Amino acid sequence: MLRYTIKRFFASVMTVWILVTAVFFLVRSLPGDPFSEEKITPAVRVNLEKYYGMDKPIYMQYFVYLGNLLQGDMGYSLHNANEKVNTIISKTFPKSADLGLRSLLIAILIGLPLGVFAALHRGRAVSHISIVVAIIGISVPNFVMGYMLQYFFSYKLKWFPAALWRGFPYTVLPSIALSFATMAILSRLMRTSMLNITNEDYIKTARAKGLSTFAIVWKHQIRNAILPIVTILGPITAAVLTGTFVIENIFAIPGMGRFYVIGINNRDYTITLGLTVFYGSFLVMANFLVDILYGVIDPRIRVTES
Amino acid sequence: MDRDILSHIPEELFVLSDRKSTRAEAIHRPSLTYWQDARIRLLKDKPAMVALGLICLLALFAVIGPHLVPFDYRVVDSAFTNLPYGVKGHWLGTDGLGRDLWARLWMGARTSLIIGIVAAVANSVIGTMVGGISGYFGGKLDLVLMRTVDVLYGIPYLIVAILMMVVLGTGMESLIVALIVVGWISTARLVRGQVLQLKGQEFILAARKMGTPDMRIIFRHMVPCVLGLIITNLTMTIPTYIFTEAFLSFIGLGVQPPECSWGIMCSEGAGNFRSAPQQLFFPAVVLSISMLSFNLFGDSLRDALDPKMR
Repeated sequence: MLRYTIKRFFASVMTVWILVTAVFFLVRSLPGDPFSEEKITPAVRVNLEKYYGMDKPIYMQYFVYLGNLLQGDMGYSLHNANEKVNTIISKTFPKSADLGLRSLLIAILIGLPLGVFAALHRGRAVSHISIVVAIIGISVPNFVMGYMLQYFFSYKLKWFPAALWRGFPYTVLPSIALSFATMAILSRLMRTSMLNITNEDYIKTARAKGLSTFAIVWKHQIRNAILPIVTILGPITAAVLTGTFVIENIFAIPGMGRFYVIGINNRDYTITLGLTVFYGSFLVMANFLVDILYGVIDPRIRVTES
Repeated sequence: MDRDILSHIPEELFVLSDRKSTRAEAIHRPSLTYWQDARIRLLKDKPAMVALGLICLLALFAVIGPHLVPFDYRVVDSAFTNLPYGVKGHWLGTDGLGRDLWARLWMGARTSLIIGIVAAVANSVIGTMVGGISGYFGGKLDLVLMRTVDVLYGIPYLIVAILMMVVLGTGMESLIVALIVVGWISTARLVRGQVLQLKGQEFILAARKMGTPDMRIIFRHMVPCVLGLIITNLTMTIPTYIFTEAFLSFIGLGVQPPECSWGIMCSEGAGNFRSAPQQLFFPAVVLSISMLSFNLFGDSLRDALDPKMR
């Protein structure tokens, strides 16, 4: 287990390092530079380049950037010279995390039971609902979902506020809009996973022992069927995270996804790349934790490793 | 209990069956090749056929749709902005700049379908070549390739796609390149796994013993065995790419105006969806239908091409 953990950790660090390197050199290969403006005279330009450390050779810049990054410093926004990328992240990430966790909670609380019931009552109404949810979640893009919810529930019905992030009523629509895709993945996987287990010998044994249906489903089926769910936690985190890019824009939530998109549209490279590195590292870390978690839960992985 | 019932049945009712007449060994089904069988099962699958019909319909309208109306999808008409549907010869109305929505909708279909299909096919070809060669030869090449794949696999594809779009610049060509850069990895992984399994089998061994060149073994003997999986994978990636295109265009990184795509139409329509919700509604519905059709068709295709599901 320890060897496995170390191996996975090393691979994750490598991934982040390659991402950072790629990001650094890609942005410097872009045509033009941030200081080619008419207002900036050659003298100012020299000073600016000195200030941002751009007068040094590129490999030096790379090591400086890497060093700063190791200390958690991502530099300044190009668009807004006295705003640090770090400040933006620390200000906006909690809101995005809040939104993400809420949507995840909704997806789990609705998606998993839906999958379980759909598997237990095949061909009945519940299973049709689960199929409809899966179809909507897979085929309706999250930004369309966001606008539809906003149109019907805040503009037409006036049940919830249409935008901003100032308390519980504001969080309902964005969280639901963001949760649909995840809900679909979860209910679908849970259903397949439950169906796969129905014919296992230990379920037959439990039935033969005369256990109640509730005990069989709760103690034996669900417990075993939920294992594969852990494997898709990584992709789910990625889906929720990229979902925030558009959902936060639609509902004007001052979260990190919104800043990311604004940074992209302003062609603010330090923000775009700083946040890309942050998102990338965050997801690589999430994947790493999921892998370890899976190793802890499922002893078979540990056995094959040693 | 069973024995009681049996003991009540009179002895003379038991008759020895005629062994010859049962023909236990006879082949009841006509012999079908893999592809014949898959086609028959796919044709019987109603959702798949409906989905395929919808896909064909979308493709047809992508080709002829813009020519059915006398308006160009790029021409701005400030006199007739935000028209509702069915007014002044604009079947679906006009957008905020007075451009005909019907023409734009199907030009958008062109963009989305071209991006989805071209990127998916290119990914399958590249992924199959890389995965096949890497799996067959093994060794250092395989190690390097798989480490690369592992590293790239850890980063979510949308992040890489966004990064590529920032670097390559916006536009349809860059979008396709960005999708290929992120997309070949999963195909390569899939094909490599299959090739590794096939490598030890007798027919490959026989081909090698007969001196068949390596490339011929990979592409004439191994790839056809994996083709079902590759095609399924291809069909399932098309909706992902259509979504990615819409997503990137929506956040301002995809296709640029005056060119048109469903993602751009959604984001433009979203701007005034209170007064004219149909501007968001039409592209959103068509986008969802296309993603749904490709997903449904891909699902059925997977079942039809899976020998275990027979």
